[in-house]
Amino acid sequence: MIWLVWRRQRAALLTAAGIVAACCIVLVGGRAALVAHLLEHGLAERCIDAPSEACRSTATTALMGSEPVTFAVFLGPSELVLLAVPLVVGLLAGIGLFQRELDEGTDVLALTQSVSVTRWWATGLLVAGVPVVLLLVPLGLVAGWAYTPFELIHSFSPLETPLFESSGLAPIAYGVLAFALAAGTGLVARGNLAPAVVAVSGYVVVMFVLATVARPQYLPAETVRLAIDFTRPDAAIRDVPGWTLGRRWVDAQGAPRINTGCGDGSRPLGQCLRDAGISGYEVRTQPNSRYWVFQLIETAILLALSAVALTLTHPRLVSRVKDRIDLLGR
Amino acid sequence: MVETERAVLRLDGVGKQFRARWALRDCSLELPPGRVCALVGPNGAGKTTLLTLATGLRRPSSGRIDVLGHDPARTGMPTGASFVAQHKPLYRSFRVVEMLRAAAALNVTGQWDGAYTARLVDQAGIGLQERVRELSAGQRARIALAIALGRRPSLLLLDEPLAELDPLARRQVLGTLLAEAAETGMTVLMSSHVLADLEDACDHLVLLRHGRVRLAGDIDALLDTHRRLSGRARDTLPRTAVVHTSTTARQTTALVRGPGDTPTGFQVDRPSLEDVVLAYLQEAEDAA
Repeated sequence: MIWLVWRRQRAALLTAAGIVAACCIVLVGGRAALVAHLLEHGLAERCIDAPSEACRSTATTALMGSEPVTFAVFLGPSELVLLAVPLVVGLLAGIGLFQRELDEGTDVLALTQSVSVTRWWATGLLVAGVPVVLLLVPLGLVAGWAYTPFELIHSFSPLETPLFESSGLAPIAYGVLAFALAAGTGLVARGNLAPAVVAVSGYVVVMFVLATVARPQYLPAETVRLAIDFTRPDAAIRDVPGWTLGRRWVDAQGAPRINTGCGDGSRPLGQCLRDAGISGYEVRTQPNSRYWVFQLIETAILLALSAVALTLTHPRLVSRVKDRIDLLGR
Repeated sequence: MVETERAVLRLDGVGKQFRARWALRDCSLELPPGRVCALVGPNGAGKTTLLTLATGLRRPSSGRIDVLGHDPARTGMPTGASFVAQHKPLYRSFRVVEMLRAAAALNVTGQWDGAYTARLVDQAGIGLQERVRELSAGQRARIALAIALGRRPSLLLLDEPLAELDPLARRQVLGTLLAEAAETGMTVLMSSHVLADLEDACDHLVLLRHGRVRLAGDIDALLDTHRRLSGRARDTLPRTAVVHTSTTARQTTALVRGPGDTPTGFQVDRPSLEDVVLAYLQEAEDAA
């Protein structure tokens, strides 16, 4: 039975493996090129995988005016591609799993032998689904590792889209979601297109909602209050490490002030802020140290959604619902 | 007819509703062991529905089915039964040898006889390395049948096994089927809307019309209990027991159920199976 599912899904799974391998090669190559470039420009080797604040300023200085455009170009598109890889892998593994059986009528063949519906369903999901996990584990690890030195030249938080979704556990969980949606839809809807449409739209919507609505609230955000140094022209405003969710000026009572009227540059910032009664600067942030907690939370959400999708499309449930519909009558 | 042996397949008031339509309604029948039974009826009569209910692929909306002592609605495909669907589903991208391996994998818990299946495929002259996709309809039918027989069934359910086959392939498939049935003593229930296919092969008949069992029983007994009357067109027949009357310009032919007096001017014959089947199929139309 395991062999049978593997034989049916082999081509799709090997294609998925090829895509993941290609992505890994590109990531390793991109990292190697950046590291070589940074070391050549005098960055200490210990900085590569531990991009501290000090390392970052060294790198910035070292690369002042010489950061090759190619690295920035590589970073953006490659991360966007990585956002889609779990979708592609999940789709490839899940789309034909049941849909093609129903399409060719081989579900009738399989289910009139000595295999129960549940066993047919579960074996299919396991044999096609486990490779999705196995393929996306290395991808997440390679992505996290490959992008680390990029933090030296480009300030971003690993909690932010797209790095968060394409590193660690998240790509696995997103891949499982795409797989569950594609495979499950194949059991319910007729037609070649439905599983792809449901999987792609479900994936995009879930990713968008989690990134914009849910993730900022996985844990209460920390508020960092920076004192303003009125004597300095830049008022000593600086970035707070982490995923910045919001920033605002506050007055002496701690009340937020939306408009200070100091942004136009006609007067030194510090002086202007003092005249406007501003006494501080607040940054709402999710610290980078919460990366793994957030990864676990998002993974749990995605796996729960996948489980719901698969439960709702369990063939026994589906046939029960169909029986009910058949009985509705006129 | 009194059944002394336990029926292989029994339907008790079985109905299956699809939305507003009853595909089967209040069907009751018993199929004794060892029979080769034709399940006939026009398209849409409920033949496929009846077979899928017997395999547990669907559940009846009412009534009860018993297949070899199992209720397929609860247990799924009964162990002692085999089914070949009309489109003879096979994994099209597989080679024949892989298809046989797949069949074995799907039958780990049953009494699968892989050697037997392989022998039947070999007898059909199909190479193990050929691709299923590239086989003819007749070859695919023979593989599907070989897989069904490999389960060593006591009851073989076939949905339109000969449809889409050319005359030679029909003879070959039917030949294999009847030879194996004779050798193993299994019961066969096969549907067809082409009676000629089954006339010589079957000894039992179930006739469906509009989702109801209209006629069922041993073919010889059915022929014995019907009479074919033919006479001149102007002679009239009493309506009782007449299944169907057809009148041409010069002649009236009627199928009559049960014994009775022969009306004057009519000649009595033993009907052919075709006479009986056609009369019952048209009777329903008359009634409607």
